[in-house]
Amino acid sequence: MMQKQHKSIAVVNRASPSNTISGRESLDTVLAMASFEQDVTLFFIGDGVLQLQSQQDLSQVGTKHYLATLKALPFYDVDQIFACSQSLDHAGLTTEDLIDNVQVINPNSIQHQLQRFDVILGF
Amino acid sequence: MSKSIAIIVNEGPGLGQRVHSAFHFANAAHRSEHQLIGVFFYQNGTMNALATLSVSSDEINWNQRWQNFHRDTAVPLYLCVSAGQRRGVIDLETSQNEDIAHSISSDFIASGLGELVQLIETSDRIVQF
Repeated sequence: MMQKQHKSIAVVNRASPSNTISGRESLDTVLAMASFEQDVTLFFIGDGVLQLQSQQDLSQVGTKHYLATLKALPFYDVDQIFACSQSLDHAGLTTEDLIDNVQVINPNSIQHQLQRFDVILGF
Repeated sequence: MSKSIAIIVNEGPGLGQRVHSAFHFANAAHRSEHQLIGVFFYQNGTMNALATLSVSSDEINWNQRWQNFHRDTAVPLYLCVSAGQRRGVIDLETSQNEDIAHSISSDFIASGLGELVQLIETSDRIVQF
């Protein structure tokens, strides 16, 4: 018999918002986990930080917009959202460019944090 | 100590090396002392469910390989229906509801992200490809 275990889950997002739909499909997974009351923490690294820009117009890309859902994550009890400071620097972004509720931390802190999770998924 | 393992496949058949790795890992996991409790196909991985792959004789038909794997081992193969739909990976119910062609092979279970959450909750380890 398999028992259900409460897991701490990290979802690491590395994809830019327009090149593929990985960001959207990552978010769908996060929402599914949140709806089952799993403990989910998000990390945005590399090109993934581009997904967090508050002023994005993806209407020209032809894929589903999901920025509004990203902004609404705290309503789903997903309020631990981290972005890599180094990736933000490389992208020329500051905290002001980002949606609310994002904590900016350095790569070492991200690596340290990831070690405490039961499950790590990457998109 | 024996562990329960679940696998996530996010890459499409013949589109890179990850499906090959996932398949061989699945076989090794099944043969080991551990228990492979399911394989979940998401993103482009949903395309492994396509019965409509046309593969030349010197290449691998991954849909057939996964089907044979399921028939040999009874390990369930779960297809994320919503991720599949946008890729033309159409299960029976969708094909009936929308009057479009059914494109998946029967060994794949039409499922959703809720199943993925179950696999995460019940497995000791989840391995993503």
